[in-house]
Amino acid sequence: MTRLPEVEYRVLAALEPGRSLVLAELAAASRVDQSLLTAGAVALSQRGLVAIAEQSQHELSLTEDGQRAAAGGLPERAALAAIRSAGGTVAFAGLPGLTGRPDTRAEVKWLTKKGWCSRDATTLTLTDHGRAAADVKGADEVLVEKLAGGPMTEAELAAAGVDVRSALELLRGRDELLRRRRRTSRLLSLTDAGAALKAGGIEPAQEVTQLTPELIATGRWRDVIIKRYDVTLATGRQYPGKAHPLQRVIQETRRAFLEMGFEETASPVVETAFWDFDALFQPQDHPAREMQDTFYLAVPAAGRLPDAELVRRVARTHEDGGDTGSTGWRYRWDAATARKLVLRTHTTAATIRAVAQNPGPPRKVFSVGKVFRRENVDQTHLPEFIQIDGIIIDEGASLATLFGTLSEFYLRMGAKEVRFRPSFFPYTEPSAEAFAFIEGLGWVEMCGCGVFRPEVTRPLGCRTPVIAWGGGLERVAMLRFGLDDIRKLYWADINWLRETKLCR
Amino acid sequence: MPLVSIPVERLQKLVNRRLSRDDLTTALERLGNDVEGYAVVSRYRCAACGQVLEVLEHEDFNNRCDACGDKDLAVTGWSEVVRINLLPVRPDTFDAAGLARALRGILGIETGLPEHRFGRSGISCRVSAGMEDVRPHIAGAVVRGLRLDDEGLKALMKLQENLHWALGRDRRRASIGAYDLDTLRPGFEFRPVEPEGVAFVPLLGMPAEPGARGGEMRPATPREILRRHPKGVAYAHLLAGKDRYPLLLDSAGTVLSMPPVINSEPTRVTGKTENLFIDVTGPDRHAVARTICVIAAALADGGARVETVTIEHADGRTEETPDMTPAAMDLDAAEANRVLGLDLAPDEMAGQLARMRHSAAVAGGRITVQVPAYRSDVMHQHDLIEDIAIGYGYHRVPPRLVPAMTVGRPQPTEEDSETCRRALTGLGLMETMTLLLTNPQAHFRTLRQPEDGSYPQIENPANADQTMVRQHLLTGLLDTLRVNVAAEMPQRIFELGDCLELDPGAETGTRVRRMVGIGLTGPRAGFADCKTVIEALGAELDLILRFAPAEHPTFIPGRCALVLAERGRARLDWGIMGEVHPEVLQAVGIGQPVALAQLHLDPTPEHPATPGRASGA
Repeated sequence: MTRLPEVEYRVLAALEPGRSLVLAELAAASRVDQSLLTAGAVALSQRGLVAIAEQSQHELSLTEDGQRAAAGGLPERAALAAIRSAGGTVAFAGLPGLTGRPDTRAEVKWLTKKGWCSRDATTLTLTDHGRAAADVKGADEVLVEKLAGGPMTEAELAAAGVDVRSALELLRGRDELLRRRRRTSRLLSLTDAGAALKAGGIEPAQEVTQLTPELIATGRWRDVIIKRYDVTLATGRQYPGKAHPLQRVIQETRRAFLEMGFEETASPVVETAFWDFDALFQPQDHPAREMQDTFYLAVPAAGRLPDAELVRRVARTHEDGGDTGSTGWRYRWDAATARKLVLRTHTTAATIRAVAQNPGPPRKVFSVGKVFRRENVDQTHLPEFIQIDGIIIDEGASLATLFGTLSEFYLRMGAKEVRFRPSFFPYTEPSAEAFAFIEGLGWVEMCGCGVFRPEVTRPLGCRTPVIAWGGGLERVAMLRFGLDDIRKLYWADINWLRETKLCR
Repeated sequence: MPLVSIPVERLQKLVNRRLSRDDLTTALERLGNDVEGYAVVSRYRCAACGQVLEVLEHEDFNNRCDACGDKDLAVTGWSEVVRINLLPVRPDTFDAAGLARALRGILGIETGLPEHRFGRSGISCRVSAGMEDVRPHIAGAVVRGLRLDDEGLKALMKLQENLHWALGRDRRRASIGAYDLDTLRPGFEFRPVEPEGVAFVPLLGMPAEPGARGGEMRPATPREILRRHPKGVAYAHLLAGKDRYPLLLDSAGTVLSMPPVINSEPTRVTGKTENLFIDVTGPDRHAVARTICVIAAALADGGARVETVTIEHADGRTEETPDMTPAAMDLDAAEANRVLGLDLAPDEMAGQLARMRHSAAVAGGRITVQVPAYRSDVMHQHDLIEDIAIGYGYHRVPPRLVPAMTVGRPQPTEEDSETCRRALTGLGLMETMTLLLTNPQAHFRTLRQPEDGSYPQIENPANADQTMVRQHLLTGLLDTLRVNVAAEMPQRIFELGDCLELDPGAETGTRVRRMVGIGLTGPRAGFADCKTVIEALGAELDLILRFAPAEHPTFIPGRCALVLAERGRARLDWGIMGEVHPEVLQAVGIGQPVALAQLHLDPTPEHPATPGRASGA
């Protein structure tokens, strides 16, 4: 004995092997509402118990005139009754009076066409046929009445006992009453599997949509049938909470550094010019230090310099090279200029502080942070952006290991190939720019890099080679996420945040 | 970085080799040049003042002379140019001749020190006593046999302009003057004058009215020029505080120029000029000497004959300028290999240095290098090591990893931020990022907060919107919600960001605090919703929370709380939260209720996290 949901049970019960039924017939036979029936039949067909065949049929429906005829009868029916009451013969002229209709051409036409009346020049006379028809509805009238409830196919009308063929014959030429259209309907039949199941015995059972704790606890889930779902139906849209796309690039970068054995360092956002410029051997009249390019602070206006000996060594290196083997910049170094406070222009300020703190090799250090340049906001510029900086203090630090480290780093970040070309930075010598080949974008400039000048490292007490590199992350994020406007990162459209995918 | 346009035809002629665009680009990039692309420039000459203008295709051009403003311009020619970002450390490659010199080296066409042996012109320039306080250094050169077409004239002016920028630091360290020698009577004198002590017609004349370009060809005193002539106004600061100004004159008393401000009109270089006198003056001896060498080398390589000028100092010393004697520098081959990570023989290094136009003699492991006098960037043997690498080719340097094993170690602040980020994204909040720069209106007044000026303020803001560094995250959260008012509700966002506060005890007078900001909006967003999020976050951070009623101007009275936390035995002021005051919402332009919170990533008892100067409960 197989248990089935009530509807499916009734469908199977109503179907007999070798006999197909349209839905309407099945509805009548199974006493299930057609809307429920469809879902049940589909469920059964998905399990291979019922076959659903498409069948093309004609559907009939009433026009507005047709609806009136369905409610009040065909005009010739009323006229027939009126003529009979009037004795069987009436003059044409009297017909409007009898029927209450000023224009009786339709009545005359159909009374004669159906053979209910014969006519001469001025009168209509009831025929025997007409007399016989007076108490019996014609097939056409039955059909019109049936259609009052809504459109039906010819098969459905036939199933409802209408002699469709005769009716249509009678109604030929009465297009004002009736519309006829092709419609596809479904024809249901038992499959072999369905027949076998039915033969094995079936019984109806309650169907539940939601499995409740109560059903589980009581074990009643055994007695019910858990409703099958249409698993293809659409459901509501949901978004996970996500880290900001730029933040994801930052975290990937940090991970790559940490995996490669780098310790992370940080430095103040407001920085003394000493650590931002002087310690990096940028002369005090260097264009990058100008008000035009660098944000200086009015409040607070000045910071403290580090210990006097370190400051003295940096000052001498600027002035005449000190003991670094350099000619220096040949000018008078000014402590007040170095005490000025700026908004950090690069995170090299963080890595150079790390060198000063502990210049002993081997060390690998990186920093990620906000840096500032005096720019206005537009599509490609922001006054602040995220920069990464990395250094390696090591006896083996060299241009070759710089290129090797950066190649490894950018390959980890998804580049296909990395190459270098000469460049210039005040604090590195040799200097280079790194370009990465990124699928779909081509060669993209990633960072500036080089070997710190002895004028930078020696005054900090570092006698080991130091390689260093730094670059912005916004552009990497923009390329990755296909942005053409940098502002979208910091004035984010929440829909963009919702839809930017987590996968790479 | 300024862009320079180098005529390709002239460059090829000077290199003496036809190069395809690809080959030229590759060679330029091997030298470290950033090639922007190729373009065509059209040249115009101003009928009024003779100025030559170069205009790129598609460049905005109002058909006016940029010197005198006249509209009578005639097209005189066009050139295909390669556009290069100036390499500031190599001013000797700013023009076609200098670039060709470097290209001939790297391409192996001509290596070693270039031949720059200049004969004496017999012309002298006497430096008067008292110049040491006014403009102490001067160098000069005579250039003969110039055939300046418009392209050449324009190139000379461009070179002068770019050298002013790179070597002269906008004329502060050094400035250049060039004059038609045939209008002058040598020798020359460099002497100080009183502000009203002389009068001459400045280049392009005195403006008829303030702000006008060019104008009346009448003599004016130095004081008047500094006050009224456009160049005078632009460079007056370089002579500020001096009671006498530097003046260069010829033996007939004709004024050549008042360095570093302006030349005189009658001595002006035009397309007809065949012989030049050039001077470089300035307070920086080294910059003055390098600059005259760069110009002399460029003009000599361009085909002119350069002769030296005798500078007669007030103390009786004399020197011949330009002095093209190369500077000797010792290079340790082992150090070079160490820095480059290569294993090159000293002879190979010498060869690469020669390709970079040095000359190098090897003696054991030491290389003695003769550095051309026009190279201003060689301060240390590391600069020569870089030249070896460039000559060798960066693409041939084998990438290797440093063998030393080190252990990765993250910053605790970043790790704690990641923990918060995981908790908050897990709660379905979307992370946003906003700028640190803001202004007092948006940061305090719009949020109904008092403003007392005790926050980091920028001395030279670029605009009125960004004049300070933020102290809290609320402005950024509201700004993000504002741009998203039309997006699907509810919206739940957070930001993890740095804020700054003044800290007189700190080295930089400020202290960075990492904050957590939370913003919730939507028809039903409110206190309870926000509190739920904070409690969930607190639980993940192992904090026991207590909420105390608080009044804060940004929040609705009675719907604001201080968030207090306990971790172990520490009692911490974690932050503040509440429903935003409707007056704030209206001012920002948000039509939905908003709940905000701001918490310290690293709460400390003595620093309450109340944004702005809130009154706690």
